[in-house]
Amino acid sequence: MPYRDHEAIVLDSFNGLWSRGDPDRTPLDHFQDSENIKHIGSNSFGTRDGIGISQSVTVPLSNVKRIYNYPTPTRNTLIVLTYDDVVDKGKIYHVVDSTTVYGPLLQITGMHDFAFVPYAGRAYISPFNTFGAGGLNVEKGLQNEFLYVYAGDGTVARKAAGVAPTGALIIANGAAGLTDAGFHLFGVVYETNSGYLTSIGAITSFTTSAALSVSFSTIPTGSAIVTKRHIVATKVITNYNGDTTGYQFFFIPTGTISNNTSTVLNDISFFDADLLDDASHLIDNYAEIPAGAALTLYHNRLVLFTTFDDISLGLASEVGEPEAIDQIDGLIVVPPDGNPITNGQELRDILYITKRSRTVSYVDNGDEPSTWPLVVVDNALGTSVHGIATVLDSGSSSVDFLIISTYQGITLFNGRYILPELSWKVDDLWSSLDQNEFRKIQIVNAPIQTEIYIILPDRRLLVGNYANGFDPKKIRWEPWSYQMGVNTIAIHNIDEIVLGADLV
Amino acid sequence: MGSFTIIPDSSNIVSGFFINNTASGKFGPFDLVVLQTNDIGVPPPYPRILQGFDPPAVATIDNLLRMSFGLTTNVISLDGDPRISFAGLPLGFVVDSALISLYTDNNGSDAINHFRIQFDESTESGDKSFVAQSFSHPNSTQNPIPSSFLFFVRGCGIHVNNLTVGQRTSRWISRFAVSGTYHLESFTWTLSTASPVSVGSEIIFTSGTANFANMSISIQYVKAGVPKTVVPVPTSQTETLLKFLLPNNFEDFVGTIYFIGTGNGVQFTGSVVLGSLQFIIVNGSGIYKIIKGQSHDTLYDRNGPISYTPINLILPSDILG
Repeated sequence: MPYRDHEAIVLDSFNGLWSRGDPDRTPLDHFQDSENIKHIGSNSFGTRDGIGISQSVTVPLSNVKRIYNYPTPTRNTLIVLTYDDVVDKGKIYHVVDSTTVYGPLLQITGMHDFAFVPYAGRAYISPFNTFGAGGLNVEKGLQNEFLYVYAGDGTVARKAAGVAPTGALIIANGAAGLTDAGFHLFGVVYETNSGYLTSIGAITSFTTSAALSVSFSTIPTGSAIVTKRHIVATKVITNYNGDTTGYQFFFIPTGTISNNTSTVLNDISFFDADLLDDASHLIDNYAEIPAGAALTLYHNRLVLFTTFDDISLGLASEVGEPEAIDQIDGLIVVPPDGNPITNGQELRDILYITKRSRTVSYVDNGDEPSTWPLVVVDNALGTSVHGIATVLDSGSSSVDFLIISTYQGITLFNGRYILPELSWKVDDLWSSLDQNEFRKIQIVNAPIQTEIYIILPDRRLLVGNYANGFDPKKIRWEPWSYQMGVNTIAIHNIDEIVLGADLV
Repeated sequence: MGSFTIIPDSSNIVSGFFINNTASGKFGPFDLVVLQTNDIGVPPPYPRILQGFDPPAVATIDNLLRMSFGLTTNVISLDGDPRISFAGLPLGFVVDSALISLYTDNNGSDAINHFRIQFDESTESGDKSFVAQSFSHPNSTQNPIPSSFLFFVRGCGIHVNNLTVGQRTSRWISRFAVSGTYHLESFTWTLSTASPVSVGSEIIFTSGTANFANMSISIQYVKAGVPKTVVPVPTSQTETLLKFLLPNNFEDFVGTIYFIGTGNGVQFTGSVVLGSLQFIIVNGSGIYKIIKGQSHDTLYDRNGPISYTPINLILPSDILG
């Protein structure tokens, strides 16, 4: 057929990769196959931006397994897991800037991944790993490992929470003073350098006299992390039954020792009416919090999910006390179905908890977490351990919606999953991904670039440009690849995209 | 089926002391000294034994003295033809049998002839006496034939064991040669991945007539004169397609890596060099940042233990210098 019979087709826009259905039906403004293309403005495109090294140090971190944005009170930093396969150890570092690296803060045998949340400048770190279960991969906390806290100052991380005091107090009447005469139980609470209040220990009984104060000696001292100690007491007990932890304890207002050395506190006066600050909730706190596969913050509580022993378990802390998790009242149990909890995220005052193909929600009713009501949100869609996008350098996920990777695709979530998926155009590409490797997917949302960056299991990056609209048919998708392969991503200093590369 | 001979291309020969200087018995570290580079008593041509005892060309592996041939020098003759290099071997070259021969003499105190010849650690002759010796391979059904690649880079090993403490033997090693038979496999294949590659690069072989399902794959290279083998895990292995990612255990190597296919006896027996690629970055892992407007990627370069010079991957001239 002569060419003159052809009518020219003007392509005035290019809208990215089309990987959906019959390739012959690819729209003319899309490519069947493309790689390393970036979209500029609404119609232009070019080669993707290059990458450069992020560390200007003699020995840059190698074999990087996970990067999180770690906002501290003074700057935006990174917390990074590397893996040393010679000694089978995961090592966590604090990368302050291009020339300053602290660490390793934490070294744990067999740690291939970790969950993280920043809180009050501190970093809470939970080591986890992937385990096989019936042919499927399951991410859960490492066995015999714990939640750790890092102060952000280069000192090594330590186990979160802390052990209660032990031993017994020697209690005697002090100088002339004022107390409600009668039988009391007294105890000691440690306060650690992260503000955590331990369970009550060294519980000792003593009958006070009305005209005399109370003096304490042999007050136990704790480990180096203890910065203060508090004397707690019950109100007068009239019929003591011998159950030392069965009574309500309160902080004595003047019963604080602001050091970890003195073993004596003399001449303390208090009335029962002064005992207002309840300490009873500390009694059942974990001294060591088991490691989990996911961490999140909800209503100023730290919530940890998926321990080695219970893949359906969530542990929620007291409000404002991220290390104070009650072993009874702090439990959230998602109905077991053989699938582990994979993630948790707050959105508009609701805590959404996901499994790989299920989503439920809990609402803080002002009572203990174990009483929070469960609502099933979606029985088909869920996500993986890193499958909820974080936004800019906030280290958190919420805007007014979430971007979640499900088995169906990249999906907007505003309390329900919005279909069709954002990745509708590249549905075949998404479907070709190994579902058993979805733990490797990590997402960040960069509103300044109007782009979503998704780490794929095959160590490429899938980039969605939404400059033309957050719409499945307007978003423009492009795979980006690198010589070394990428496996983790974070946003740093507002809009700097940071990539991590490991060894195969 | 044809015959090959690895012909010496140098007049260098080496001699050295094998000495047991440990009190624990067995064999201790070798006290190797080049006595002379030309043994007047033996007429040329002599085998090329790489660079005498200057490390790293001649290395000891597990207390063995190994002598190897160069991969790029013309040292092998097929069926009496002029010598060619390893790189010039025809596609499908498979070694069927081989024999090491050499000439030795003893000026030391080892009167019991604790002298052995090795193809590799698992294929060793018994004690040999002096003067003319040979060792054929395969010598038993338990010992697989090494790949043609290993024939070149490993050559043979000289092993003197069980000297008594303080006992010393001196060997003059000359007339070193490897000869044997070979055949050419007629199947075809294509290495679809181009150089350079690095850890994590995807290597893809597609088949013309080869059946990849009947092969196991290994990656071999020579670092500091010592042959190394890395076994990748295929991500896809069918009759017509073989794909895998380059694993991370190349240590600090940079240079040519060879892909060796070993048959399981269905399609062929022995090993075939399937191709070679230039390996440029040992370990490009680390933390990177996207740089707006930058037209190239700059990666960590851990080619040496200290140097971390960024290199540009997009502009080939930067890679090749």
